[in-house]
Amino acid sequence: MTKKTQVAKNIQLSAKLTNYLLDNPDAVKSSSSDSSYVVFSAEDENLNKMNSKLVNKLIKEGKTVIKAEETKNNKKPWKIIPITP
Amino acid sequence: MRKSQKFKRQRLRRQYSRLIKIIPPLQPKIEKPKFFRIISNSFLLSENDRLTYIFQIDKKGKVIEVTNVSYDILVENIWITVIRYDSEHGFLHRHSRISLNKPKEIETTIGVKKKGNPHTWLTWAIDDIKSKYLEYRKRFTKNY
Repeated sequence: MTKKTQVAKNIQLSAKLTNYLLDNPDAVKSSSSDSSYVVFSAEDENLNKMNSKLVNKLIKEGKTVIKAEETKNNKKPWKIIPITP
Repeated sequence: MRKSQKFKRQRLRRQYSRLIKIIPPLQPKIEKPKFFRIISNSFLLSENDRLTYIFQIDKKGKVIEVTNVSYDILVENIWITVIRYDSEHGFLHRHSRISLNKPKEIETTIGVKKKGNPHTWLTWAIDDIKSKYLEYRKRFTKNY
């Protein structure tokens, strides 16, 4: 997968996640502000592999990362996991 | 009362009544809704691309201001904002950085959503960057 494709897919997922966070303010409370989100798709494993590298890179830089995993559950479409270095 | 004093009073009353008509009534102060929290989210899209959303919400979780919706690229270890939206002045507008060599921004409302409320502006700005980020990036790097 090229970087261009990775960016395009991540933008789509990030927009989906933001719309979810806007409609579900409680999910926002459970995550900290000023953190870097890295999104993970429910279906695209290639994208997830590339994004895992991003997570490792951010952790090495000492930043707080929030993994947002897309799920196939309609009631809870996102699983938000904070990772502290 | 002397006639002169009486006429003087009448004249003063007429002058004041004209003044009252000229001076408009005080406008009621429109209070900006008090913000409860600032939400700041940064999404890493790749090693060199990033999206940032910062907005203010009130106690009910309603978006009251779009502080910053931006698309940034990493150039020589420095994050440069290529394009950003905010509603600081009460309406949504776009800031586009001219190029890497020119840090000045072009501020415009052309092609920017005007109607609606801060929540719709936020979602519009997100959708705009989602669909046009490549165009904005090409324009920015072309100027560079």
